[in-house]
Amino acid sequence: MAVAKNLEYVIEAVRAEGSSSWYAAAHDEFVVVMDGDIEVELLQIADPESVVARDKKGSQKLAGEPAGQRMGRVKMGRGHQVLLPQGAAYRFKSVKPGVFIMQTIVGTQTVEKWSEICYA
Amino acid sequence: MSTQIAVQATPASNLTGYRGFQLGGFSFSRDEYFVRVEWEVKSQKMMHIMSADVFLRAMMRDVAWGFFYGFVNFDAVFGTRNLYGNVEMYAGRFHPAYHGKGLDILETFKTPIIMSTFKAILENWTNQGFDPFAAPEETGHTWIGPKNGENKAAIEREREVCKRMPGIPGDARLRSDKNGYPVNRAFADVPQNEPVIEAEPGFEGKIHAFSLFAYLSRSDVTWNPSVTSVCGRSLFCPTTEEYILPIKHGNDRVEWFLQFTDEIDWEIEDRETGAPRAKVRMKAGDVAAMPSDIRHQGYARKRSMLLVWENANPDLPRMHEAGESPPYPVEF
Repeated sequence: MAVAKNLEYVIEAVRAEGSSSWYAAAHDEFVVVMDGDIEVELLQIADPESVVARDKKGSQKLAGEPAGQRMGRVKMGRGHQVLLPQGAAYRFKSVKPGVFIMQTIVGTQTVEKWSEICYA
Repeated sequence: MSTQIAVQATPASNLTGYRGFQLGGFSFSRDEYFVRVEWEVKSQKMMHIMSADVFLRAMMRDVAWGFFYGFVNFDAVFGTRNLYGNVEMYAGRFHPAYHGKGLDILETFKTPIIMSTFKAILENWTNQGFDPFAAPEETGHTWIGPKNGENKAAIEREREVCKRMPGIPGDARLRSDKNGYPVNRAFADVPQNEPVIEAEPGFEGKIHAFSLFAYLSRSDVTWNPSVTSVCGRSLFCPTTEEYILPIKHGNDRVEWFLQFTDEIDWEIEDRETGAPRAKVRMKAGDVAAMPSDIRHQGYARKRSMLLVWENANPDLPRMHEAGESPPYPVEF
């Protein structure tokens, strides 16, 4: 969910619990863990533009694991930051509930609920 | 080959040892405690006085940030506005008492000229032992008194700006004891463990992650955003804050704050007049937008970590001035 927005750019706050779907973007994105122990898996997509068009902005949810090579994973705690690079797909895992913020661009996955989350 | 810009300066005072400076219609002088900014308008000699430490802390930010985004108000009277290639300097222009009586001054200078003057002022007026970037508890009171030495190491720090993210080869370095960045005394409780990267064969060195909080805990300056991630024109510029933000920042675009740790109290004023508009107490986890029509100044009783989020789109000031973009970021 978007918790900050500046024209086309957003900071999204995400609750992490269990395993997420695979996602990818046509640009770099960044994650900072605010709470919990969160793991991210990275996969280098074989043909990135066939998965996410070059001009598509924001995080895109994928139907499943795309074709490509597993890059590895990062185990993160509070205050840790990871680069989700252009051309890579990513998936999050968290045994217990955790929270991270994502620096990205408004996209199909962005949820805006300003009237519910803001002080008037 | 660089061209030296001639800064207008008086010889050192016999009394205080400090030089005086002139730029356009502005005169600057300092003594043991105070800085005076003087100008003439309507045949009247005007003078604005500030505590020298307040002036130097503000000037340090103006210089280090290249005049930053928008308005850098040293206080309610004196400041600069970045026009990106030119800089406006003013006294009283955004204070109703001065402006209403036509007693204010505003002049525009080419950036290199005003930057050279400000650097000369900072160098001459910063005594040995005083660091304008440090919290008061961390630095000496040697700003007080006649001229006594200098502190070039403190005032010539480069603002750390990454291209993508610190720690990536060829990008900004991470901080450590070895490269001169010990953990700050106020962040002794911040864990220093880094993320664990498990790379598949062939991808060693291709996955990038670091502890942002550990990085911030080793910052040796206060109220000095440094870029730690770049997504197009979206810049994460976290900073560590203690005591008072030395300027009242009147942005020329919307910016956002996300409080990573501890608390900051913000005084929000109208950007044009300085009239009080709001008070915001941000606690860890809080998020707040700073609209483009306000100025803000923060107060942190304990060193805290603040995420400052900027949109570096160079067209934004024009869009806000033209009314093409509202001063607030969202409507609901």
